[in-house]
Amino acid sequence: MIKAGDIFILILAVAGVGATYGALWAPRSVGHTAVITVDHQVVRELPLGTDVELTINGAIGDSRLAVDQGRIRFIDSPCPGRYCIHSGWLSRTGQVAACLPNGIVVEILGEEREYDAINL
Amino acid sequence: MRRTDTAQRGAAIAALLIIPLIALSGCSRAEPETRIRFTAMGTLVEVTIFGTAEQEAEAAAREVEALFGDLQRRWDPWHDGQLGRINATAGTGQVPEVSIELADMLDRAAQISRDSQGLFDPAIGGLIRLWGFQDGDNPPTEPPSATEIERALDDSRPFTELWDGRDRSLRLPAGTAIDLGGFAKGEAVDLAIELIRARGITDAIVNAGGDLRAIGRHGDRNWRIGIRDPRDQDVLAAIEVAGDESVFTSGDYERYFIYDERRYHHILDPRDGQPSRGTVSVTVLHTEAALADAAATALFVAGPQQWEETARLLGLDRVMLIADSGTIYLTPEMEKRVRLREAAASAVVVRSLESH
Repeated sequence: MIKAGDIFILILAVAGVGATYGALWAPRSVGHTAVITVDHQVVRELPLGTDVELTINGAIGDSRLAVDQGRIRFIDSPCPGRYCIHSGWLSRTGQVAACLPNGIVVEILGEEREYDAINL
Repeated sequence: MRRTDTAQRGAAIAALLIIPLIALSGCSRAEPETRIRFTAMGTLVEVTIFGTAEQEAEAAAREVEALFGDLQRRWDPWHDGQLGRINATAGTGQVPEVSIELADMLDRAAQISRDSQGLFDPAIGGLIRLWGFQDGDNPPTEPPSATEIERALDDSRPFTELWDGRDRSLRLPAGTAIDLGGFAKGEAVDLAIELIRARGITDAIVNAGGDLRAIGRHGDRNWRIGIRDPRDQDVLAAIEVAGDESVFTSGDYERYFIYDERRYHHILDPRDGQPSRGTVSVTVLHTEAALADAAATALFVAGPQQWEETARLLGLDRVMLIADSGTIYLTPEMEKRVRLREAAASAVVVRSLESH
């Protein structure tokens, strides 16, 4: 004999599987994300699926970034060295570009990293 | 009968409840990897630690951060650290005091300088400053004049003539300066790995702006390192590292400026005082990061014509040099290690380092 309480627990259990499945078992490759930090604090997280240009204010001024076809890059920055712009497009999980004078770091998050580190 | 029903039902419900728990425990068993990032020595440093509790790993990484900050002050050629004060004695006739620790570093730098026949030379600080490459945040916008370069070359002396390891004396004539760039970063990475090991951590990467040393493994697999394509920003080659190995690259795309449509990068040839031509990048694998760092610089300057001889003299066997012609030169040992992107494979030339 199954009682109402049993059914309740069953529903709860199934719902529990459903609720955790997405977070724990589904592949995490759905859409890469860029995380932008200023002075090591996260200021923006944005999906790379939508093309956009954005301005991030850092220690010495405004840096401009662009998202285009699943990639992101610095397009302008007030730093004299312009190394952040030289870094070019990022699209792989774990890739990082930084404008150190402006304190801005962009990192790609997504599915499992293909590389533990990128040698430059 | 009724009892069995209840027991079966109970088991079924328990099983259903356990599934999410397994899922959750799967989560807590997820790879215990800690990554800490900080800025030091004008670059982004990333410490990756595998298989150590997060708190412990983070504490070790923060010690590495403090170490980098300390070394940066000590080895800065132009400010009031140990090396800065030594450089300030140039042309004064004073013989500066050199600590045992710095002397050990200068001894090894001198050895690499000798072995590379002067292609790696820490005494070109004056030239670096003349070009304006000493300040990573403020690169130059135009090259110095030929006369200025000529004068700086006249003033300069090879490091091996200035440094005497036996009595730890360094006599710097006017216009000369020691710049340990091309060695200091590697040395800092070595010291960081030493510190991490002393904390009982066996699996880690210390990555200073793309140049790194990896120890141990990433759980049940090797560490996977991507080597950037010097021209199109994608990954050119993949390499697996296990045990203890450093991967260092010197490239013309790191620090440069464009003047009159020409690229002037920061790796200067001590022979003519100009940015070295002919090479786009050099990647060296070696256990010690300091040697890999200095060797990558020396081989970059040696260029497509001379790199094999220089690699042999430095005792290296894992080298990749990309020439400005697009040719990718590999040593046989390096060929075994790298997996090149398909499009790049046609540009490969394998060169044995045996004497010829």
